[in-house]
Amino acid sequence: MEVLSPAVKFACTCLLLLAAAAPLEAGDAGPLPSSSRDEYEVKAAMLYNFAKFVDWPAAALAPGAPFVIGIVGNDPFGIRFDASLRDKAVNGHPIVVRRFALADDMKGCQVLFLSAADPARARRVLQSFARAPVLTVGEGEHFAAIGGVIGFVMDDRRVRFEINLDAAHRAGLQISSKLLRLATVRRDAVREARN
Amino acid sequence: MRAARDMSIRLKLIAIITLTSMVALLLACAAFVAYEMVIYPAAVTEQLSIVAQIIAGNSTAPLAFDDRKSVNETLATLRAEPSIVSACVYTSDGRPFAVYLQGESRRDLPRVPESAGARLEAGHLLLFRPIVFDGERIGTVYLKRDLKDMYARLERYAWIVLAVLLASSLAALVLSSRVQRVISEPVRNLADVAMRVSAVRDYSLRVSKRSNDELGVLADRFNEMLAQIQIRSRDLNEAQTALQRHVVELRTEILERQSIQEELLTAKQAAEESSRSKSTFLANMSHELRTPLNAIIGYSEMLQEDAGTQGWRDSIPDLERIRAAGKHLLALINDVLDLSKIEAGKIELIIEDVPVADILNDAVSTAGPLARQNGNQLLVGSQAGLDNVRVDPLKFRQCLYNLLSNACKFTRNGTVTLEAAKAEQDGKTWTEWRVTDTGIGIPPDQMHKLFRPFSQVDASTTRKYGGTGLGLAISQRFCQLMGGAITVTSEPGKGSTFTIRLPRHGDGGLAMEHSPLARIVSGAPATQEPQTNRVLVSEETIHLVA
Repeated sequence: MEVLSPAVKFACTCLLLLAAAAPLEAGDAGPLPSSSRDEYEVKAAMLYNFAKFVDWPAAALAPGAPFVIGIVGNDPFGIRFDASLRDKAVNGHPIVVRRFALADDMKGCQVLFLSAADPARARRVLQSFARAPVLTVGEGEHFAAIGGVIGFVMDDRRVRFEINLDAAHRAGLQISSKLLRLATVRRDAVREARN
Repeated sequence: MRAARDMSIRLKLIAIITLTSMVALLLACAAFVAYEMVIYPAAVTEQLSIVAQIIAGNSTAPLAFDDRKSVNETLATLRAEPSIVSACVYTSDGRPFAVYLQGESRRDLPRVPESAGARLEAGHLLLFRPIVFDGERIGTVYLKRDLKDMYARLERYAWIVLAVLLASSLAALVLSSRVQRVISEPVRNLADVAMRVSAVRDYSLRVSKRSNDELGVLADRFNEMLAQIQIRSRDLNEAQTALQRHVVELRTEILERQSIQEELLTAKQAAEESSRSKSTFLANMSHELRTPLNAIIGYSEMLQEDAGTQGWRDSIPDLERIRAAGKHLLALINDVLDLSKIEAGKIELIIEDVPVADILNDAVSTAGPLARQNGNQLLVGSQAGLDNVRVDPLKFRQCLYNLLSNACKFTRNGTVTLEAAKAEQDGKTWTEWRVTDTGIGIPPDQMHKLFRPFSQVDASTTRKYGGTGLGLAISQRFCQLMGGAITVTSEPGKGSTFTIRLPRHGDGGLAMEHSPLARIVSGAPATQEPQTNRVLVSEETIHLVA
């Protein structure tokens, strides 16, 4: 009988906790400054973590097949990235890091990272993968706007990211709400303009 | 304990009911509190674990993307639960990532997260829960909750239990003090009546019965007992009264009897005195009488001889009459002396073995002349094998002679028979001496007088036949002294049979002890006037008479 009262309190607490899980305002969400850590170390960790909050269509990843993270052109992570992912897996798939030149055939990748060094090249790659189930990650505020799924942006030395939901939808990717809570959500620039 | 035992039943019942209800309630409360103490911490742990799980779920993405602010927001919502005093989310390498403090300082946080689980520490519940994402441990949630509410609850329970106990004890007390009357009232009633009964001994009191239970049965039985006691007490009183009356009567009777006894004693003493004086008088008189009588007899004999020699023929018959009268008088005096000796108890028997043949010979020599005198035939005989008899020879001969002389006297030209034989009667062996005659017989109405002193069948008989009238009485007394008796059968005109019966191996002394003589003697008319009779006492006399 007396158990009711704490139960009510408990229920309230749970509701509040769930409420806190609602998407935060963009301004509030900011990754911690990590002065000790290099910007690309953070981005490398995030690249791996994105894979965990995104669901690929079943056809995109055969059972037992490796989960491939591709780095196109300039590689800011270096060989340490490979080492840090050596024993890790995504949803049971072992992770493989591949590096591509622009002319290479980049099919079979689940994640593609395009560094900020060459925006023109990025635009071209994005166009070729517009409807493929590939999570494209790039740098700069324009990346999501031009059709990339996730784009890193810097905010007062903190690494943050933008997510283009239209691009994700086109690629057939399902992005976790937990991830969306931490990101700035964008739409296609064309549609935005049209709307 | 003694005080508790001596309490009244009323108090005992109240105490028992109250105590029982209190104990039952206390047990129930204790069980409830114990249950609470087990169930409440478990529930609290469960709740805290769920809170930790929600926090962990909400912290996966922020941890993955290093978003401390988001976790802080999540933790801030814990303000709604004031019992959670601190919380912390650690990174996978054990560094605090986000912290929530409410009344605690940062220093109180564990430096490193512990393995998963909950534990109690200083009135607080500490819980660690790993944050796992995609099979990878990416951090730990730590929650610390105080248990003040639980202790407050327990305290509240204690007060509630106390209040309930007090209230219910009071209720039990009130209720039991009313209910107990059902049992204690009849018992007290019973005790009161019992006390009154024993105090005033009023057995008419009764216990009123109120129910049909064991107490009712007790009251019934008690009343029955009282009724029985009442009846017995009444009977006892009546019996006592009757007894008292009887005692008074008895006392009166005893007093009367005592005076009578005294009178009797006096009379007896007087009678004994007179009897003794009579016997002494008779003994003296007999002795005094015999001396002059002997002189008369002696001198009349001398005169007879003198008359014979001198030739005074005329005087001889007269002298003879004097001498016979003297002899008769002497016999009479001897008989009276014997009788008085018997009555005075001065007879001594000398028992010895005497041959039967001697007795029979003696009888022939003494009674023979008497038989011949009346023309009678004397027949004597004894049973074969009858050798000796144990008798006092002198007294027995006197008895036998008396019977034979009587038989000869009252028979003329007939037969007188003497027979000795053995007989069995009453498991004893007897010797019977039977004297049978063919004389005049005895009329039936005279039979009972035969053995009385001085009573011949009638006075005319005495005149005709002579005798003192003492012979049979004396013989009967002698035979009784020797343990036997004389019996008689007779038919007037045809004859009589007198039988002396004596014990075969009789002991004189013993016989005397058993003899009812004293009574017979004292019952006999002692002061009867002697009659003047003629008695044939000797052969000489017979010759003279003849």
